[in-house]
Amino acid sequence: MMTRDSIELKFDISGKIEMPHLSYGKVGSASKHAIASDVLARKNEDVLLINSTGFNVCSVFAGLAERHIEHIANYAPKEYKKEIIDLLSNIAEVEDIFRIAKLLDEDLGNNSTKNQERVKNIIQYVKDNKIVFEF
Amino acid sequence: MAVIYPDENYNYGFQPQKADDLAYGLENEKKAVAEATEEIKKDLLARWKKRYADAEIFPPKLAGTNPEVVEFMLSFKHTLFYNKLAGNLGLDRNQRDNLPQIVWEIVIGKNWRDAEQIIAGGLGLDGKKAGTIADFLFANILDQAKILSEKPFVPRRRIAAEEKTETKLIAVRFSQSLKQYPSLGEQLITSGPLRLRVFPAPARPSIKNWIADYHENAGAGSHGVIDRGNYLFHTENTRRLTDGERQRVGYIIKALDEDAVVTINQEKGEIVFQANEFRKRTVNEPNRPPAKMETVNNESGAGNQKRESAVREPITEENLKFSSPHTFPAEKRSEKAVFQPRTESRPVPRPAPSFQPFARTIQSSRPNLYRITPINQPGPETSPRGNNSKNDPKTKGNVVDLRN
Repeated sequence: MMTRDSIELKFDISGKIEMPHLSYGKVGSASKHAIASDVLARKNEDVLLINSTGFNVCSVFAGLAERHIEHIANYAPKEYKKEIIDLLSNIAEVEDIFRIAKLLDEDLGNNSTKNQERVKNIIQYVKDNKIVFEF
Repeated sequence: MAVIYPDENYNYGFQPQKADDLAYGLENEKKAVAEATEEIKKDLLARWKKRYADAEIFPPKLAGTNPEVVEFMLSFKHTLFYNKLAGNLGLDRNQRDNLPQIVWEIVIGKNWRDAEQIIAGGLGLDGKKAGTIADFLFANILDQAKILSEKPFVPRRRIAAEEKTETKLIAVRFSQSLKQYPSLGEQLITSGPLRLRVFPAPARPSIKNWIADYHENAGAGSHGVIDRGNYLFHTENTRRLTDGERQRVGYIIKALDEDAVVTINQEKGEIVFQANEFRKRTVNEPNRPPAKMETVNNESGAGNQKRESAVREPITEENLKFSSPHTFPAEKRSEKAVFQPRTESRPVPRPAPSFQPFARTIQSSRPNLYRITPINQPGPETSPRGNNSKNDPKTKGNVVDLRN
């Protein structure tokens, strides 16, 4: 039999899977960093479990890997793609995405730009294939 | 006054946990969370797939393109290739960004022959540079895309439609269905959470929980219509249901009580509520013999009673009967008109009805007294004495001469 604790645990876990952008407390660079790291570590299928509205959030987008965006392009319904196009059409949001990628790079040390490169390529990928992202 | 201080060395019955025990507990908890996470992910993924089963993934302009081509074109390595090509051939930012759009245009339109012209026109380049870019593009992308586009394919929409028709609906008894499809118990049939006595927290409105609630309120075992009606309208959980939700709950508890046949979507492992009634009427009835003899289960305890319901024949004048044994004039008339004593066992062929004007039938059955004849054509019955009598009034047209 499930107890109250186990139900709360279940809600916590499913909340984190579906809405990581609302699950890391107060909005700040630490929570953005945590959200991006969470998304980055996910499997392709698990990325699509994020609610479509999450793809309009910088920290979620900043955590997308190359394999994720390829998976999104091939399998995500149009509402996901629309959110991404909406996000990338806002310059301030794009700047924020790069800021979060820079935070992730700072963790790596050695003046690494790996995450910033990743984000740049992902944005370029969306631009190159806007035919499948724009409805 | 003496003050009693707690003995610092006394442990009040608590045994301090060792560091190893704590680590073991933490490890176990982590393991439990990881297992729960996997389980929840599976559940969410199944729901996601169900929700987006018919979702639009690509815009309509790609409907005529082979899905394999689209998948190939969406490879991330192409973005890196365009970056490299633009760097090597000195394309500016705009040209770099336009190049993939031009490639998509060539692929969708299958303009392999005109690729060089399209590239030259699209990027504003001379023929030589456009030729070089075209060579690189064919070597890395376009040749492969051309091969894939020549493959026969089924448009995405049609694939989805075919997959949909393949979903099998089966009719199974309710008790059997729960055994065969354990996931059925988890199917949510209403929206709000349930409050169960045995369970302190709000419970999911699943079939399993609704059955638990039904048994809590109405008791275990099967119940009649009245019990079900009372449950459906007068318990804490059912009071707030919408009509549709109440119908679904009612359907489930009826199926539970009567172990009725339910329709199940095999693929989803769910009860199909909308098709239930339809299947009852269209699938089960043809297998049942036409209503010859029905057994009526007398719930009042008077025992079972067999009622023979006559097989219905088309109603004709011959078999027209009223429910009462009393013979009505209409029946008498039909007997007189049609009935002929049958002396032989084989059916006597009925003579074909000959056309008789309705007025003549009335004439023969009514007394002459009521007969109306035209004034200027007096019939023999107008006067019992006849027209030649001296005292009879003479008529001429509509004028009656009473003088004679």
